[in-house]
Amino acid sequence: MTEETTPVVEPNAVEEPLDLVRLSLDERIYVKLRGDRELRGKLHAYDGHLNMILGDVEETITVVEINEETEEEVIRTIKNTAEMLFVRGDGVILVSPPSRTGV
Amino acid sequence: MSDSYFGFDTTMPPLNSDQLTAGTAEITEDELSKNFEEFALESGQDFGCDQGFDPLADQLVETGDDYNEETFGNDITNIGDDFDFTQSNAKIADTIQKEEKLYVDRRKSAPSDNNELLRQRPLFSNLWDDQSGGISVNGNGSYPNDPTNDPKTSPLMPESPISPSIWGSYHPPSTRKESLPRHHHETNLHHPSYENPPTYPPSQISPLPPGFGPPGPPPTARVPTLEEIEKQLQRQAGQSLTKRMLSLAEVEAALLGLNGRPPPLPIYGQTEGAYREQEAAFLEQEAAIREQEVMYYERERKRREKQRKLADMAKYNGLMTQNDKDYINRIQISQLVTDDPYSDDFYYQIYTAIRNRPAQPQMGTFSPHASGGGAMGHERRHRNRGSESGMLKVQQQVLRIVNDVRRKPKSTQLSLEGALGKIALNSVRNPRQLLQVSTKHTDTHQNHASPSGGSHQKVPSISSHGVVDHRKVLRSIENIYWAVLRLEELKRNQEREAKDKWQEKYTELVNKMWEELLVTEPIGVSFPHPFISILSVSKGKKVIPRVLRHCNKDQFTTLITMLVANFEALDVCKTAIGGSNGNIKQSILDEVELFMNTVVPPLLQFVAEAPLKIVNGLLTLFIERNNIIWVAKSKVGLAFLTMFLSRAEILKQGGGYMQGLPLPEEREIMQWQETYNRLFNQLQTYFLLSFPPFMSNIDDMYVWQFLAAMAVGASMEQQHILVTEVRERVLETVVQASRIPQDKATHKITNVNLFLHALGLDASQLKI
Amino acid sequence: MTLIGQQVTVELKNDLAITGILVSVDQFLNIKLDDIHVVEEQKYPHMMAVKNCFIRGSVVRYVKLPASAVDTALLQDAARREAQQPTVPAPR
Repeated sequence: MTEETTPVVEPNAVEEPLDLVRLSLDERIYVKLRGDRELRGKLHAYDGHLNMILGDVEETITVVEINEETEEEVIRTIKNTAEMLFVRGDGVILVSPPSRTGV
Repeated sequence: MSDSYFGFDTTMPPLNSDQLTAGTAEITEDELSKNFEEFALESGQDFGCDQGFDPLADQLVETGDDYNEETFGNDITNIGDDFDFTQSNAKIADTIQKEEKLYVDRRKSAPSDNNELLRQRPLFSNLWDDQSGGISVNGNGSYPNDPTNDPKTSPLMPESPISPSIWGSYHPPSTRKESLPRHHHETNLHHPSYENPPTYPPSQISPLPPGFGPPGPPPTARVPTLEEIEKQLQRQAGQSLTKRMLSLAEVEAALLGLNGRPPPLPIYGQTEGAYREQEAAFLEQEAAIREQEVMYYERERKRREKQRKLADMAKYNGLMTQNDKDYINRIQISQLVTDDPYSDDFYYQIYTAIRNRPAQPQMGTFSPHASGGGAMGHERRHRNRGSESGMLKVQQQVLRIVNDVRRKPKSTQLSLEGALGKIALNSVRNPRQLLQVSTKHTDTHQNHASPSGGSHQKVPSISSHGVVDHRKVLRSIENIYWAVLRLEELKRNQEREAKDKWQEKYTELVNKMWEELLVTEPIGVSFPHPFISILSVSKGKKVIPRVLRHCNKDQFTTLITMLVANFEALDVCKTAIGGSNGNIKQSILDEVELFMNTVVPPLLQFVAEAPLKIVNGLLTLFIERNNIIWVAKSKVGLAFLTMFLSRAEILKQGGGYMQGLPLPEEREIMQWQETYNRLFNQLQTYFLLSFPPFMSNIDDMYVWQFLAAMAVGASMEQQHILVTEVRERVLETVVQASRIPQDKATHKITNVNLFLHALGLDASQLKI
Repeated sequence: MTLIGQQVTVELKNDLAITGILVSVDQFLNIKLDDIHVVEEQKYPHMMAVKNCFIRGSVVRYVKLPASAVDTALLQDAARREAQQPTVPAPR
């Protein structure tokens, strides 16, 4: 395998978290955002602030509503889609490859 | 009265009207003294200036003064009277008492509420006023208080409310009970502020109207001190009461004038009509003037306020010169400047280039720095020349700052000369650090380190041996991209660098890229082969044409060989084969399409130039290494087969001659025929399986193309087998074409004819 | 930026969404929009009269872009190049 190859220079290997994000370029990813929002879409671009551009995005907003009568918590999800979405990085909580079952 | 300098207590019980009407002149000195004494005791006021009225003095202890004579001298008789305040004060007391009486008389006619007190203030000065008017109170012998001249009904009264409003809190009521001398003294102290209070309109200090001017010293000439007044009084000591009255009035008038009082208005009624008329005329005039003054004052106040504000704003005017402003501008612009427009706005540069839109001139394009990218800057320089000379100027200015910044590239903060603070060099690429993890790898970034297989050593694979985990594949792909992007940049830079050096760099990068492709990984160590794994990711497919642009023939051959040998492991092969119902997920179809558009074209190009020997070898490998029946069910598999078959047919017919290839040897053709036969035999009875389900919307042209390629190389016997096998499909298609819209039908027929023409037939010959 | 002149929808962190023609974007991702209209007009009627606006970058949650105006492959390359840029070493 590649173990035999001797690199000429030290590779800019996956050392930083952002390099892991780089691996997901052109891949579908899962993004958790502030405000109980989740995004699933294809990562087209990102920067150091985790500003991202996602394609074919599905946004899921989780809203917890309390039923006035029964006082039960009703969890409702709102789904939105966008063909191309710029996401400002300051709202990003986590970025991960999609779960195997999801997306 | 509260506003009197002499501190008369207006709360003093009013005298009866008889006393008032009696006239001031008829009040004897004794009476006055007595009244004054009584008043002083009653009100508890200390008039101070007259010790003779101090009853406490009687109880003074006169003993223990044995040495007084020694100290002060014993010839008491020779003592002059220049310090004899008692004497003179006693005389003033008369005057004061008299005045007091007059005032009290007047006051009696007015209600004693505080507002009235304020209103009455100007009246006091009428004493003087009357005199200056040439009408001596005493000269008249009597000065009857005209009841019609009551302040309330007096025509003068409308003046009164104005005056206090203008003067504001001129006389706080608390000063009312102060003793006379002290008050006087205070007045002197307060004088400057009274004379020119900030809110005071200048006109209020203005001299009195002619005829009303004080006979004494002009108000602004000097401030009479207590001593001065006393001296004056002393001089007048021997004079008549009238005279003394005058002098006192003079002093008061002077003081009033100094204090910016309005011209005193006569309050004592005049029996003479002429005087009244004169007075009324004057008052009218006065009122008008006042009104104007009030308006003027308002305007003046507003103007000053406005000026103050303007001055406030303008105080920073001229703080920065134009040079300073330019300098700041340059600092700001320098933050945006780069020497490599491609690295700082790669997307913009390429995008605009692709769209064939002239890119806006970029600052960085004028950078002389050739290293580290900015390749196109060179070309662009020519392109942009003469576009905007103004821009050029700014750019040159900016360049200096940029170079300054570049000189200390490692600092995270920049302190520019003259700047008040430090400019943080955090950028998009270098956000402010919140965490400091290990810095041992920072060197790698400085080196622009290229990715290599070595990176795999650092991250242990979580997968068991032989299974390439997805992340590892992604890392390889990104490393390929890394190399490709650098290669592309290097290509753009080609003309800027020394050929040797450039070639060295280029070769190194190509090798790097090649390593990352993992094409040369031994087969069978892992499954699927790492290269196939790369090709099974969409971005892996996308990078292939860009990779192959930098590959030499050998690398090309190796790559296609590896691909063919592991073909059935490709996602576009193994997952893109429909089951019995022929349903294939759209995402897979997309991948197939992507593969056909990215990977296949360069390979087709390669095969289209390959000699028969290589084509034969590839097909042989294809057949041997894959379940060809299975592969032939996939679009991609058929495309490869078609590719090889077509090329071989062309070469067999001498098509390679045009490309400078020698005609294939007989042995090669023989070998090819063998391979073909093997293929045909394997696929025989399965040809129909290559078609997608008949009713599906998938265009089956690629199958007809494959069949055509098979038919061309087939023997008569093989052709017969072919036709027999697919006859059903041909007929179905032609029948279907007769029932569907023209354009679609034409396409269907064309597809069928691809095959039929290869056999020397045509769809039109078919009789249905 | 290549999206200037395109119609985009900016969704703010307060859920207000504004559609308009992109006029400019700066380094802080502050955004200028022209010919704007609010997506939920009935919910934010006070924005009716506003014809253009400047949006501070920090209040932006999303910007919805027209996919047709975006070259995704190029965008990915741009992101990769960005990641390649040598970062300033952390002060030790």
